Amino acid sequence: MSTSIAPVESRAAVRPPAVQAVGLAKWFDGAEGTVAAIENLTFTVHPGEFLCLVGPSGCGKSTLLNIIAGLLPASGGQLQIYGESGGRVRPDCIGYVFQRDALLPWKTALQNVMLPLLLRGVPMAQSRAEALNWVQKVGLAGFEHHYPSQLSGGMRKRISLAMTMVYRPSIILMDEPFAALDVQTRHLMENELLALWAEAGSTILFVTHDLEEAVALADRIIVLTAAPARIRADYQVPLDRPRDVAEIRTSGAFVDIYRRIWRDLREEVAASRGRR
Amino acid sequence: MSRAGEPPATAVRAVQAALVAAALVGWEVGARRGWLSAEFVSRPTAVGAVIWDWVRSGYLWPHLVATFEAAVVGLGLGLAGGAALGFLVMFVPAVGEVVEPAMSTLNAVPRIVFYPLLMLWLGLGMASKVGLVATIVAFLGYYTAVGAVREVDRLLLAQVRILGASPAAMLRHLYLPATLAWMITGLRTSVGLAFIGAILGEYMGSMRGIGNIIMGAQNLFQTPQVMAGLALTMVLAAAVDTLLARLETHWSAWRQVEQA
Repeated sequence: MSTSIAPVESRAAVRPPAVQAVGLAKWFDGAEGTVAAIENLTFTVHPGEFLCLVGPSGCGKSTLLNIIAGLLPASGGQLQIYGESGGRVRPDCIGYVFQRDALLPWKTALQNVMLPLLLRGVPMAQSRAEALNWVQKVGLAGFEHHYPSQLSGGMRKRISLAMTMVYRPSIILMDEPFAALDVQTRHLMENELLALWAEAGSTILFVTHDLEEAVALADRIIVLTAAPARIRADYQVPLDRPRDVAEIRTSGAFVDIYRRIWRDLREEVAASRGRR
Repeated sequence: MSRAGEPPATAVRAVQAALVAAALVGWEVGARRGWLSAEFVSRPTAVGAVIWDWVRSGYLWPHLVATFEAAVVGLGLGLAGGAALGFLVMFVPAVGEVVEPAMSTLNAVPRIVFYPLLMLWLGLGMASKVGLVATIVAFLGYYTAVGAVREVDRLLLAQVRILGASPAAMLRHLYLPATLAWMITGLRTSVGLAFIGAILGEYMGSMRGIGNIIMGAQNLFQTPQVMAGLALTMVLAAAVDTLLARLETHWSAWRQVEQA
């Protein structure tokens, strides 16, 4: 085990786990009977950890995030957020960056970023100041008064990120947030995300089916099985920080851990393909 | 903007103006020569003289204002009331089950049948006309709100919930703007309906308004006055429509790239 994860464990000793799932299950009642999306998931996410969930497409990763977010009820098992269960949506501590941009189209970039603060009762002037600060932080100074339809995909993603970071959620769920971006924009955004995360100290659960992205970003990677999602493997990523996501891909340590995880993931991808 | 193969806009305008001018000249000459019955169709110059007289004497303004007021106030009340009912139906299931079937039945009934009742309740003045207009456009407000709630982007809904919105905040930041966006798209239709309602109301019984002028003149067989009323209605409608087209573009700025 690498020394780079030691601080995470010492922090974990002081505070309850950010997320703790025990025997978590989710099934959907469909026309062809009950379909299990998640089966017997048990895992712990430590505060401040950057955890990537990888698995074949359609394995139930998004369902898992939706349950943690409180958007979907679990069908079985227990889920605790900072030691507390219950409560369907936990807006104060959870942020969610979706794959598709979830910006209100009739609000400008600035108004979108202000929204979570206004919803929390922060006064207008203060919300505006903080939102302006975040719009600048994600590199969109000068675009405050543009509507989402006037921004590029990468810019919209930055605004989505600012809209989530602005209220400082302690847990940020990210569902393939950069999947729709071109490679260059994607690397830029990944580096910026790492910088923002290091500064904010939040816990990130990042879902992706791109193992390279997962290794470049994460402290820890959980490999999920083809549907229904179970835990196939749980890896620590022994790479130093700060990282440059584009450069780190060529390092020996990166290639090494990538190969080990890919052996697990490949079988699950094959299993999910064979089923279709 | 002119595309290849299309005549330039100025040429189109010129042809349109020439056609209108030709029709007016034909009408004038035909009526003077006796090819057309002047009693039934009057003459453009006579109609113009009537309008000029109304404008100069100040006779026109109270009527114009009355028609405008009935249309605009009725439009506002009807859309707002209809939308409020739509939200109630969507968010309070008990209300929905009671009201929804009633609304689809009522929507199939021509609203003008309620006008005699509205006159009984509200009198011959402004209130009954506003009531008629509101009854007509309320269904637009209702179905727009119901549609906006039903078709709301699930992702936006999830986002706003995650961001911590209360039900009231969801209404304010998600459902109301979505409804307004749809209403603006259909604004020209609903304003058209509002003017139809106002003038119909004035036809059937009122003290003031363009419809009232037309009806009064018709009873006295004053064809130039009837024609003047019609012409004014057309000018009014065209002016309002042009204004609304501008406003629609302005209010839909957030959609401009999608539209382009």
